[in-house]
Amino acid sequence: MTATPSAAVPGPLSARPPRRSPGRLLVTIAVAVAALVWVGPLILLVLTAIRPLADFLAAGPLSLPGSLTLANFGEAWQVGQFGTA
Amino acid sequence: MTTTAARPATAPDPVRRRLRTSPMWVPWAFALPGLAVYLLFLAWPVISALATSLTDWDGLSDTRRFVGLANYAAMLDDTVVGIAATNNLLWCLVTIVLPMSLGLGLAVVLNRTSRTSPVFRTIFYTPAVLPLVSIASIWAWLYNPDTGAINTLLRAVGLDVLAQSWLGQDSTALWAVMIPAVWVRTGFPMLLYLAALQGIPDELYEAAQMDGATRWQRFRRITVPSLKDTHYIVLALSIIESFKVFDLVYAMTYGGPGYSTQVMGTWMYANVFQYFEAGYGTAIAVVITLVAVAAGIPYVRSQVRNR
Repeated sequence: MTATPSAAVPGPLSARPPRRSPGRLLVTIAVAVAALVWVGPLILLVLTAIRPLADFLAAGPLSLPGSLTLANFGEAWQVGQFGTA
Repeated sequence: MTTTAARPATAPDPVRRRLRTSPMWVPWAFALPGLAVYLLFLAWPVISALATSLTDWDGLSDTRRFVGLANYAAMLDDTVVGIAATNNLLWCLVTIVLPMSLGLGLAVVLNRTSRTSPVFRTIFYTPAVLPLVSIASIWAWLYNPDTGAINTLLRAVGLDVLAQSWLGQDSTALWAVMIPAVWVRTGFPMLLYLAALQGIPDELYEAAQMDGATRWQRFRRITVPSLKDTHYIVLALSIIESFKVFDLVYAMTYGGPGYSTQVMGTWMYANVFQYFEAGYGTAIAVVITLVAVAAGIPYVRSQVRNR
């Protein structure tokens, strides 16, 4: 599966994948953009989970956290009453 | 001792012989545990639901009056049922066609062996492992008109006019709920298509290429027909999944604003548990079930015939 014919050829050319056309590069870029959109909500979710609420409200949802905290998790545990449920 | 030795090697299995000569009820006794569970938890609820749908029960009181088919007749006059049925149809169309085509496209693109493909496959599949209620919370948060990421992004690039209350207006609410559905449901078809693509022999493509087939022709004449079984499975599972729509709508819009995002599932729930119209709500549930069964029959029949 992983053994492509050119992989057996020694030399510097075999070091990179054999097929690299402009069309393929375009497809890869399109998929990369789509993947970024796809994973975006989850990245925002994690970033927001580890920043203080004040920082989130001041800088907006799309900014990088100004400071980090784990306090949200403890608070969620208590507010959600996970321990007693 | 001697009798045992004298028995020929081809004598019938003693257990089987005893079963054959035993009274009729013995085989039933073996089936009883499973049968009891089936009757108690599947057959009985169905029967009692059918019975409830013919009454005016409110879901709480002891009294219930037999009203015949009045509940079913009432559905014809209920405008919300019309809205819900239309929404269900739209929902099925969008959440079947989009995830299937996106999944197929991604599978074809990500089928090649490269360093990045596994990363992309993982990314596109990730939403599928999340619970639907979490997904609803995440997207409701993204859609937030003031602090949500979507409106913030639109404002950041100067498209302030497009920033709106996505879940709070009739015109966009249903579509806004469909987007997370597509987001979560694209990964699974992609996975099934990827598995199927790995099964297509390379020789077919090589032969076609030698005969001068273009890339599109190879896709159209080799890839698509080879995926016939997979299309069928994905389609059947998608139909079942789309019919069940309830959680995303319930958790994101609760059927609102107004009745604009009501689907049959949420309207049934609202009637049974909120408006205390258990009889009417159960009638809706019966209709949903009948439609789902009707849609599922071709799939089940084909499965039975193949095996």
